[in-house]
Amino acid sequence: MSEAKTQVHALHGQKRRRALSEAAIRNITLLALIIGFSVMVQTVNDNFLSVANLRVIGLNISFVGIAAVGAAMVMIGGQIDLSIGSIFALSAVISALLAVSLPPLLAILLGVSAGGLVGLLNGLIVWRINISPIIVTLGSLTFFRGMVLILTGDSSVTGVDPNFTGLGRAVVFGIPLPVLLFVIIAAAATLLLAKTQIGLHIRAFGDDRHAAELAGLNGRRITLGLFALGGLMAGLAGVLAASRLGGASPNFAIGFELEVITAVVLGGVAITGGEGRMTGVVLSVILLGLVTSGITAMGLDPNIGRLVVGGALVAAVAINQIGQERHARRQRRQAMEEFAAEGGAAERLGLAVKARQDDAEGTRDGS
Amino acid sequence: MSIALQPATEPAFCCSGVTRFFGAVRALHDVSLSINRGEVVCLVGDNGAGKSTLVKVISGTLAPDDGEIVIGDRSYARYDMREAQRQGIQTVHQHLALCDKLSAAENIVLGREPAQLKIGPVTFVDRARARNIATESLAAVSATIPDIDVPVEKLSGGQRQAIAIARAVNAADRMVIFDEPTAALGIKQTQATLEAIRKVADTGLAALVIMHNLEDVFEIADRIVALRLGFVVADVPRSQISRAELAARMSGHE
Repeated sequence: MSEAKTQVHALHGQKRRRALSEAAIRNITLLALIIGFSVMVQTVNDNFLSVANLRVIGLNISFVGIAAVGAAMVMIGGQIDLSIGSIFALSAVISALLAVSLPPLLAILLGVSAGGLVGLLNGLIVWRINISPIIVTLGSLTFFRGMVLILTGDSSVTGVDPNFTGLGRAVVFGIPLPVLLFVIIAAAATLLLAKTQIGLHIRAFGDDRHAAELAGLNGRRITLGLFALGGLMAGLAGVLAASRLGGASPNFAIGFELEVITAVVLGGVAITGGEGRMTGVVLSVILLGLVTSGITAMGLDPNIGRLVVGGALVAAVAINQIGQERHARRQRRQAMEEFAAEGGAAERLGLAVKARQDDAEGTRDGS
Repeated sequence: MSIALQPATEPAFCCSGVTRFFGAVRALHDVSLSINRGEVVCLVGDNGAGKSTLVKVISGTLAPDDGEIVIGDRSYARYDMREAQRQGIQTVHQHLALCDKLSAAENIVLGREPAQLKIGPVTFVDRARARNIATESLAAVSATIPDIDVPVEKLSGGQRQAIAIARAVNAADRMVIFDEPTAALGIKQTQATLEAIRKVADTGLAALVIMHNLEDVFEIADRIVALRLGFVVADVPRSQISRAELAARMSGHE
């Protein structure tokens, strides 16, 4: 009896180690892919890992990465925002349009706020009419792209205040400011998710919304906050891109949402919510960024990048699914072992189970 | 222990004249109930007797059409789940309502996390204290979990039940409602749960337990309240009613 119990305890210990290593295995795999791929491209094109090229790659990564941090939060919270490509473009276009006549700082702030506002609107609709965020944000993906096209008259925005480019082109300690912002935001998000009350509430809400609300968590505030945060991050990415380029195009970031969501899922965030770490997301953003620019650097058709991003999304979902099935199998096996440990199997085999026999008989007599 | 600190005259929770219709059907008819601290009250009744409806009213998830809810010395006209929780009333739900991917410690403190550091709207959780609170709450109901840091989805049914009870004990300072706590458990786990319920009452909380199994009821109850067709048909100390009489009242064959 006690032996069986010890076994069960030992089993739990084992599981814990295995559960921990699942996230670690993913990160190590991603890191190996990053290094392997970089080396491969470098052998074809020895300019790939030059400081100048890494800076360009870093910039591209930071735009996707900042949006991906927000999208990962949204998904861990059990929601999804498909409209981030349009939010990116809207914020970029608004900040560029305003920067033609307004002070650059104001244009930047208003552009970023527009992203947060659209996110908040998405959240409000999702919460109020309680329908799938996929449908709501698919609608706003088209709606706000339309608004971008109308605002710009379907042509690029130019003639911004020269100081507007200060944000996107600034270099701090040799590192482009957008890259630095990405690093800071990713670190802050990691901390928020793992160590704070807000992070715990997001994870709880994404895991089991009903249970979280019964525990007294405010589902409305969490939903609105998540969408606003996701929108704010996409908006910031868009404004950084506009600032970098010194203007904005209405065709900015078409298909951006899929690139971001691919990175988030590849990074190990469960599409069903409740689970995920920022390290995985950051690593997969870096990997996808390297792949996209590496394909061009190797002189291949850049459209192959689409094949890779699309293929990676399916592969990532498949890997997560396989992980879940393995988990279900483990739970079934655990149930069987517990059953055996409690003497269920022994009883059915006609063996005496001494510990609880008297009690069990007493109970039977009573009924 | 803390029972003595409470004046015997003031119940932990009291409701009177509670009536609730579902369409033309009267699910609860002028139901009155009062529970003292340190007391285990079992609520019994056949299917459709109104047990669940009454529990929903008491836990604040369903508003009665008529009746009064009195907690302490105050009567609550607008009473909802939030108010119930504010007044220290917690429910252990039949399906436990735990977050599967969170650890036992995280589940137990969820919604009442101990703070370590506050920067604006961001509060850092004191994880060491959270683990202590979890261990203490589990100990208060005589439960041990081999590892309070693994996701609760990896634990057995009995362990998850213990976590749900510890969670309620940590959050409650007046009453814990148990909604069919033993419905899905085996003999051994049922015993452990009954012991845990007694421990909850021993800490000075009121315990309201909805139960089907009369054997368990007679083992754990200080007082038994029976419902039949929305009416209270018994509200007696356990020692003053026999199992046969209780069954007769519940089924109406007196």
